[in-house]
Amino acid sequence: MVKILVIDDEELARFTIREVLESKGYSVLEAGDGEKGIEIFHSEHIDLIITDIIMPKKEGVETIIELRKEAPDLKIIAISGGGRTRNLDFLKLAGEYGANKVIAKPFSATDLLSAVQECLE
Amino acid sequence: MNEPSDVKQQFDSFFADRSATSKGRVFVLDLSPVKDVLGDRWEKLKQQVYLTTSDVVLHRIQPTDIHCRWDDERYLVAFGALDQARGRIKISLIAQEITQRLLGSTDQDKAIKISMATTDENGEFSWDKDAAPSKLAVEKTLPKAPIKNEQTKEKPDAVGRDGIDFVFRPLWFVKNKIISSYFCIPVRDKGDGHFLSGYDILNDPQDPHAITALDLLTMKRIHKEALALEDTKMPALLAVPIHFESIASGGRRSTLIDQCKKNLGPHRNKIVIELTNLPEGIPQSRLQDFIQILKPFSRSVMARFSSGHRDFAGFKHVGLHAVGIDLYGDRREESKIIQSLEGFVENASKLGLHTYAHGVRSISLTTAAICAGIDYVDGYAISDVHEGARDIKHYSIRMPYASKYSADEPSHE
Repeated sequence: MVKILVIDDEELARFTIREVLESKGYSVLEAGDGEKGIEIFHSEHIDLIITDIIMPKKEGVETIIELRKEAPDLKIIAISGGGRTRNLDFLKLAGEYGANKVIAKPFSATDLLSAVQECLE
Repeated sequence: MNEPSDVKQQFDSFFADRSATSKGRVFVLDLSPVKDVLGDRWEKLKQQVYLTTSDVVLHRIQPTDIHCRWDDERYLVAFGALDQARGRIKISLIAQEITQRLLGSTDQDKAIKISMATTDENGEFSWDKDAAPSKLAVEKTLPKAPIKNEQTKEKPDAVGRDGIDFVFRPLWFVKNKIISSYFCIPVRDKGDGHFLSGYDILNDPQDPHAITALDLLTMKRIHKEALALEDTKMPALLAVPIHFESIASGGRRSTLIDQCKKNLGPHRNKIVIELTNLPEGIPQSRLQDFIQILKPFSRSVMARFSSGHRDFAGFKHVGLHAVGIDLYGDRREESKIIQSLEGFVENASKLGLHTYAHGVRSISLTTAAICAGIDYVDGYAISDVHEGARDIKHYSIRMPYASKYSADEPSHE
């Protein structure tokens, strides 16, 4: 079964994404920040990571940089609402630093599932 | 890493020229806390650790200084032209930056340790070519910086000048992608590689005379730095903190104004004043008085508040350029800090005020601050502004990642 790790500091965001992915048969693990996410990555076999950008402790671009060093072939999707200013520059930077797909929040379940399927193909 | 004979030659040469005063100028950076944090990943990541460490050291040292990686976990840095006090400040800043870049926000017990290499019983720094690294004589901790215990009400002595020094934090104007100014921060070395800053450096933080004396000292330092900048033609601005206590009372205020005329007035176009420790709920009229007093000596006035402050009504109209927060001593969880950032900026910006943040100590807080809309974010502290002359004045959102991850640049723009 494909295992997806969702890294987002917002519990509601993780819950929503989990619901969408599990409805399609994916197995989902969660982490509240990049530090925890990397910890889980080291202890589980993960097929794909969906990571938010603005997070405490270790934010999304840092997480992507570090994951890419360890696992160049790992599939990564970056998501972000850009904070109060809707700043999507960091999402763009996430793509440049190695995210396979970037999606701006809010996104639909269809958008998310399309991105996941494209990454896993 | 240099071959041992090259390093020996460099250090031999260093101590031959300055053998009488070499003690207290050779420092050891101990990376073992980083190794402990990384655990099994140390072997895989240590080259990256060395890259980052060397990058920070090379960026901070002068041609009169030398450094080497001594062994798997230690670097030596020797300052050729600094006295012990300034050397301690500089090595502490270097250690802080390396720690922050490698480990982000972290507890002090996980920070890189620093210590001094000592001389032998003959007063000579002995170097044995074949010595194992463990034979290098080191003092386990830095001797405590001298702290004056007595304090009088006479203004020049009230602050206890021994052991006080200053660091400068560059402030980055996010929208224009440039370093706009350098904040002068008085500090006192704790003796363990970390600093006290703000009121903590005073023997009695409640003593308004001591606070004023501190502000006067800071202004003198700014004056000195401004003169040095004039020589270099650097376009940077200098920001100086002035505490509420120094300006609130009539007697201390007139002393402050005299010093402003003397130390800030000649450099007015380069000076930004930051009002600090303003009481919550300060009336707009009082703030206006303060700004009118200080404006003649500066190009703009900013004011620092707690991150929970939300009422900025009228502040723009009375001449305040920006409002800001200091995260340096804020030990709340980053998630709580990030939440309070958004509220602070939202309330300030809707009233037309710029916003700034000091002490932004991790990339996650930097990203959150920028996305919250903070206009000015600070970077790693330096000991002299002219040291910043070698920094790239242009600074974009890529810089924190480039700094932390050294050569790892994105594949395309």
